[in-house]
Amino acid sequence: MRDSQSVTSRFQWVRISLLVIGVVIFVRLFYIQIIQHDFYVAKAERAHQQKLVIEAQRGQIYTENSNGELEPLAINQTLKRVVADPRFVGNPELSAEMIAEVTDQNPKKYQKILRRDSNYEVIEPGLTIDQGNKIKKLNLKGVFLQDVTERVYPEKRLASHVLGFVNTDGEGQYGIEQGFNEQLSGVDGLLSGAFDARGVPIATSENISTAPVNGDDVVLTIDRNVQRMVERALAAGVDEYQARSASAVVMDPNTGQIIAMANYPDYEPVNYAETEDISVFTNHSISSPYESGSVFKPLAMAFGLDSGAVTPDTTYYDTSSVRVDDFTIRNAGAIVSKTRNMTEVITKSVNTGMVYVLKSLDGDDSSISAADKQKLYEFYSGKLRLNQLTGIELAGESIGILTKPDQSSDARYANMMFGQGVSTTLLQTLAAEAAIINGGTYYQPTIIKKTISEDGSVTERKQTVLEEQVISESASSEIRVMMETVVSDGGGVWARRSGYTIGGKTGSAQIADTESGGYIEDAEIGSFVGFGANDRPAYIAMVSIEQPQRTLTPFAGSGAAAPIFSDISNWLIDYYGYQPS
Amino acid sequence: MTRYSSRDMSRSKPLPNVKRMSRNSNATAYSRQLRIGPVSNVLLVGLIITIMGLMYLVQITKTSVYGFELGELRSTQTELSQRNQALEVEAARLQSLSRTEDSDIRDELVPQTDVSYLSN
Repeated sequence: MRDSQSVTSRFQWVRISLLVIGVVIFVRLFYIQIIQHDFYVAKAERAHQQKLVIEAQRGQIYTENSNGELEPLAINQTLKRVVADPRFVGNPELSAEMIAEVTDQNPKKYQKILRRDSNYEVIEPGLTIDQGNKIKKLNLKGVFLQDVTERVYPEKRLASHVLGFVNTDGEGQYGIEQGFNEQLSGVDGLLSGAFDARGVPIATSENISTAPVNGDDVVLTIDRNVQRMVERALAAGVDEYQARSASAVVMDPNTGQIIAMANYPDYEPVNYAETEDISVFTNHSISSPYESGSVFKPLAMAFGLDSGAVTPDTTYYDTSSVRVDDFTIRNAGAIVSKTRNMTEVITKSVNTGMVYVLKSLDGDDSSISAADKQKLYEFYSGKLRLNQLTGIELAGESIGILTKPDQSSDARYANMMFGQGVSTTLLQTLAAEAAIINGGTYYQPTIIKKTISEDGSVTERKQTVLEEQVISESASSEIRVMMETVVSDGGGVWARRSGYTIGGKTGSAQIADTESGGYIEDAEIGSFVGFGANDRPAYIAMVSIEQPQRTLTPFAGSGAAAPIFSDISNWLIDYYGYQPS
Repeated sequence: MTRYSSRDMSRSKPLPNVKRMSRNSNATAYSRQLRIGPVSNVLLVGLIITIMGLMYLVQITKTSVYGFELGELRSTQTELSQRNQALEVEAARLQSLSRTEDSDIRDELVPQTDVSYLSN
């Protein structure tokens, strides 16, 4: 009887104990699952959930040859970056030797890195896929591989100022890489969901995947053969004339498409980080306004012809100098007093003749009136857009300086007739010159022929007319003939080629001192703008050369810039196979 | 011989254990041999749940394996794409102007001469 009671009592205790344990477990589970629910869900998500950014491929940059084939200028390549966490590298000496066997490098280089007190070290910045796979197979502790995309410029220095480069953050810098960065970059994708310990997405989890949108490929209007030739001509010119730098742009005057754009010195985009002088990245033809001198004369003369103020045969008496305000404006060269016509003013680059044109704009050639200045300003700014960006798709375009009539003296406006007192970029000047020789249409300069999106759809870039008629067709024809006389009888004689119609204009100007406000002594920029090769110009090109120490004539325009233009022009005639007229 | 009238028959008590017959009913009845009680039901439900659980596990494992296979295929695709990219870069380098100018092809080129055109 007593035994029976004892057994019953024990069962009771077991029951109570089980009940207590059950209650404790229940309470604990309730606490974990209900009260601490959010905390543990967040903790689990942190452990498994990851957000993986899927990088969009940067659009590639091409030129197109005459067969319609694309030629790459900037493309992408995926490389394997070898990195290490030295804290987990077991045997630095052995690891270094094994890596060195793959890369064919000195193992000591790696030993030094692997012994560092750090948690992240780059051992090799970019190995090939095969080398990367070999490293992976070594299964070295504390050594990892990362995919890195490298921008490759297979043509090396070619068109470096047009292209720019991509920095370490993947952002385009300078040139088309920066100017067209948004379209080239695309939009990164995102993979968000549960990943296993190896970083592989778990298929059964609720993954959110947004596919990346790769950047658009860009096809430039540049002809790489012309580009190469222009770059060589500039390099040879800088060397021959012992100049500081030179720039050139070749354009189709009938569409505004840039065929070549170059500056010397240049750089290699892939090695941009090794460049000591960052000013070499600047595309001077669009970023550095300067007073281009007498290459402006055709622009001002074209307005005189179009407005009816003068004709090619209009004459005036030239005394080699003219007094404006307190300044005396003189002609370059020998002092000669004679009657000249307007064609001769352009052919011989006569400054006083241009002042005469300014005086004549209001119908009264006795003095420079407010109306003369206002008309010139409206033509320069409204028609030739010299105080506006051209809108070319490259980064870093500058405007220059064009002062309003009420803020300028008569002397300044007189100077503006022959390219002093007004600063423009080479491209601004070239686009304006193209407008006056092509029949009067101002085309927006463009360097993009078309874009190709990821799905293969092609968007052709249409030519944009910014001004329908800057001058009449007849005035355009007249100024073209006047410019042809510069090559046949004037300072552009170097550009002459038998059987072809070549026109142009020289320009030599002092360099403005941005610090003191005056001009730098004995420092000159020579320019030449020219077109060819028949009655209807197929190309127009402008060359500028800064501070040449040796020139073929006393002037930098005719003695250094014109010969470089001549080399380019003659080559273009042969390259495109223009027939003599 | 006893005779029963229809009136007598209608008033008589029904015989015990005699099933009432109705039209279109089976004349023979069989008693059920298998009987499922509440414990069997629980076991059966448990068995079904277990089988379904196993099936779920099999499917989930298969899906996971496919996930890994998919991952491997994606990895292979990426590597092939990268190899293709590397070949394109190599082709671009070989076809570049500087490469052409530095190659043996240059020696085989003839100098440019003046072009003469026949007049029309």
